[in-house]
Formats: sequence, structure tokens, C-alpha cells
Amino acid sequence: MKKFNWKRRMALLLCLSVMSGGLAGCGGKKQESVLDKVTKEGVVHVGTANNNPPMNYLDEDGNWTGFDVDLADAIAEALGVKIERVVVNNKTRISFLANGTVDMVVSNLSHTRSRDEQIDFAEPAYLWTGKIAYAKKGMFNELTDLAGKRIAVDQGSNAYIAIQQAIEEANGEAPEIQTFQSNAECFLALKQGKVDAFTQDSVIIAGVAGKEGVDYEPISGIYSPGLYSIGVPLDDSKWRDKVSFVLQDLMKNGKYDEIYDKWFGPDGMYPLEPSAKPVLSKDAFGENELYVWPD
Amino acid sequence: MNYEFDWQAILSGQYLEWILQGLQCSISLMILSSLIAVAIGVFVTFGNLSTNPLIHFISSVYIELCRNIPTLIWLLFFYYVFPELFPEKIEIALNSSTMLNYWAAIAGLSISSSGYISEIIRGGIMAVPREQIAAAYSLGHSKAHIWKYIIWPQAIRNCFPPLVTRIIHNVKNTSLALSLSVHEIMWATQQIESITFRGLEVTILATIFYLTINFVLSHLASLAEKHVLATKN
Repeated sequence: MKKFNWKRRMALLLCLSVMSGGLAGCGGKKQESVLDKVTKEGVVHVGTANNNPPMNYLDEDGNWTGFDVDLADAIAEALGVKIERVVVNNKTRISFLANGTVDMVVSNLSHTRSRDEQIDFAEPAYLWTGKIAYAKKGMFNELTDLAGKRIAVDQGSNAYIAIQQAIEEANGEAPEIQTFQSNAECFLALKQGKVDAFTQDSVIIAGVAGKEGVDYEPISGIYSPGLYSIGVPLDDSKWRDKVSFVLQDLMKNGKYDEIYDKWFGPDGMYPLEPSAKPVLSKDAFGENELYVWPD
Repeated sequence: MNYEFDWQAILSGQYLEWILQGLQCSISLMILSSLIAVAIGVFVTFGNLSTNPLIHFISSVYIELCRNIPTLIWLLFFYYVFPELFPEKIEIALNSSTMLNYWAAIAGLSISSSGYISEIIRGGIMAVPREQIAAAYSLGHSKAHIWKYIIWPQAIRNCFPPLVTRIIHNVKNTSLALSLSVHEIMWATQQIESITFRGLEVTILATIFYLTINFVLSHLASLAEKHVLATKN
């Protein structure tokens, strides 16, 4: 009996050591740029989520759609390669970039300092939005009213940190954050009274709440900027520049405006304030000057 | 694969605290839901073995519901739907309770497992040869006597290995409580991933935890089987 157990234990140990050896033994070699890989293979792997309307979601027929999806298509077209979409969620999008599963992430990704330590971002941000807190009409007036209250956050969103910081800075009691697996679940929890407020980027809240949004209102304004940017792997300047240039070209040649108007323009599906577009103030370089680098 | 492991990032300060809390919460989920599942399971088995057709029918329907609906749906049912079934006052009280998600997870896990456990116990009882019971009756033993000395000892021995398998399954299923924002180990690791982005490290951590718990559990079970439940003849 003893011998049998010993064998089993050895086998397990062997399994574990093979696993960890396989994982650990592959650092250190010089990486080729993602740009070379993408051009060679003719395919770019783009990570996009599918549950953050109107940025990315599945329509009634189950087709992947949204602003992020259209933008990713345009970028792949401009790069002259085929697009291979990889589904990510708000938790996995950074890890997938870090471990090389995807070449870029176009998925309602706000540029934050903590993320910048793990990945890089193409410039400029392609949509200017921000975090708002959202609650039943007439419940709260100011953000500080949320002190000590229950707040729903989609797990993986930087709203988790941002809302606590915002309330803390106003010297409020720390709120109780409940994390859900999607923004739709956050909104459902808000409707059922499981939480007092729901916080996320204003554009996504509008998309998730849809017609049911009439009973709810934002509590004060945006408390943390959400500068949606394209995520690229860390320390690959060649690829990052290429993506930035392609994005800026799209902004200059009108393709970006076309997609923007389709979704967020005055006649679009989810009209947004004009300030959502990454446009410099008219005092800077003239009217409607896009936020791109000159040649 | 080009990936540099950074264990320090996920095992410091607040994150370590989350992990320890997560371990505690996971273990309490595992123990409570398994105990409740076994209790309900035994209860339903008697219903299923009942000669009363109505009780037999109700227990069979219950078992089928438990076994044929995914555990995750049970969890979501108890969290999102169950409170809505009550009058408004109770509904609001349930929905504003901060423990709703924890108890919804316990309820979902227990009910999902109880159907299987009931079938396992029934199998154990049915496997006791009918001739032994007939012989006991003919020797003048009472019904209670027969259950205590003939059916149960053999039934427990029969159903012990599949019961342990099912409990190990239930232990793994506790990770589903993540979807209800229960702060168990999976939630802790996912939350740490979403802040530090060290996805591989935290997943390995959670894997080691489940592996250890289930390894210990199955070892204890096989020890119990050999030394406590072994036939002494």
C-alpha cells in the first residue's frame, strides 16, 4: 500500500515540475516585433469584448458589432492584413496582450497608469469618455452621497479603483463595491436594488441601460476620465508606432469620422456630446482640429 | 512563451489579505454547501423510496430538476430570480441584504448537489441484497433494527466512494460563486488579476489551492474507507 502511494506522489511531483519548467524556461530571447509577425502572417489578432454596448456587443442576429469592432476592422484594412478577432473580457484583455495571445486590444480600454506598466497604448485615445455613477432618480445628489453605499462595478474595470479614490478624496466613508461579471449584470443588480449605484464609463452605461435608462440618472458628472485607447504589447515601439500612425491616418482621411457618426454622431445609434471626439479645443490650432501628430 | 513571473506583485499587502479572505470564504462555502447537500440528499432519498406515490413523484421531480439544470443557473436563480418571487416587503429586504449573494451561492450549490447525492444514496441502499432483509424479517427483527444493523452499514460502504467524488465536484463548483460577487478564492484571484494584470500567477495560485484541497480530501476519504468503513471479517 505504501509503495503505491509513493508512486502516485512521485507522478504528481513530476507533473508539476514539468508544468512549471515549461512555463519558466521560455524567457530571455530577443523578440521580433509584432509588426514583422503580422506582416509575415498576414493576420492581426485583435482582442475585443462582446458585452459592452455600444462599444462592442452581439446584435440580435448574434453578429459581433459596435464601435470597437468597426474601428478594428478599419485598422486591419489599413494595415493590409486579415483580422482575426479574439474574444476578451474586461479582466483578460491586459493579460492576453502581456502573454501574446493578441496583437492589439480594441475593447473600451481606458488609458491608466497602472495598465501602462503592463502594456503600451497607441496614440491618441480614440474616444473621450469617463466614469459616471448612476442611480435611481432622486436618490443621490452628489458623489459623496455614495459614501458607505453599495456600488456595482464590472470586474476588470478600473472603475473599481476610480470610484473609491473619488469618494475617498471627498473624505467620504469607503463604499462597498460589488463586482459583477458583465455590465448588464451590474445594471440588473441596480434595478433589483441589490446595489445603490452602478458606475462605469458614461457611454457604456447609456448602451447597457438603453430604454430602461429613463428611471435612472447620473450622479453629478464624470469623476474620472476614460480615454479609450488601443492597447499594444509592452516595449514594442515599432508596432506601437505603426498602430498609432494607422489610427491617425484614419482620423485624417475621414474613415474615423464615418465610423464615429454611425455610432455616436447626431444621427447615430447612441448620440454623444461632441466632446467625446478626440478634438483639440478651437483655441489651439483652429476649429475641429483632430488630436493627431503632424508629419 | 515570453512571460516573466512576478509573485511579489500578487502576494503583497491588500492582495494577500484578499487571498486569505478568499480561502476562508471558499472553505466555508465548501463545507456548508456539502453538509446541506448531504442532508437534503438523505431526506429526498427517503421520499424517493417512499411507497406513497405522491411523495415518490415529488422527490423524483426534485431529483430530475437538480440533476438536469446547470449549477450556475441555480446560483443565478437564487440570486436574481428567487427574491422576486416574494411580496414586495420581503423582496426589498432580501435584495438589500449584503449576505444574499453568499446564501444564494450556498443554496444553489447545495440543491444542485443534493439531487446527485440522493441518487448515490439510493443506489447504495438498493445494492443491499433483498434476501438479507427478507431473512432478517423472518428472524423477527424489527424494521428499525434492520435499517440500523443491516441496510445502513452496507449502504454507507456502497455509496461512500461516489459520494466523495460528488463532494469533490461540489468543492470545485464553489468557484462559480464568483459570478455572484461572493469574495471566495476565484473572486480574489480574478480581482487581483484585474488590478495587477498578473493573470498567470493568480490562476496558478487558485489551481494549487483546489488541487491541494481535493487531493487532501480524496486521501482522507480513501483512509476512511480503508480503516473506518472496512468490513471487519
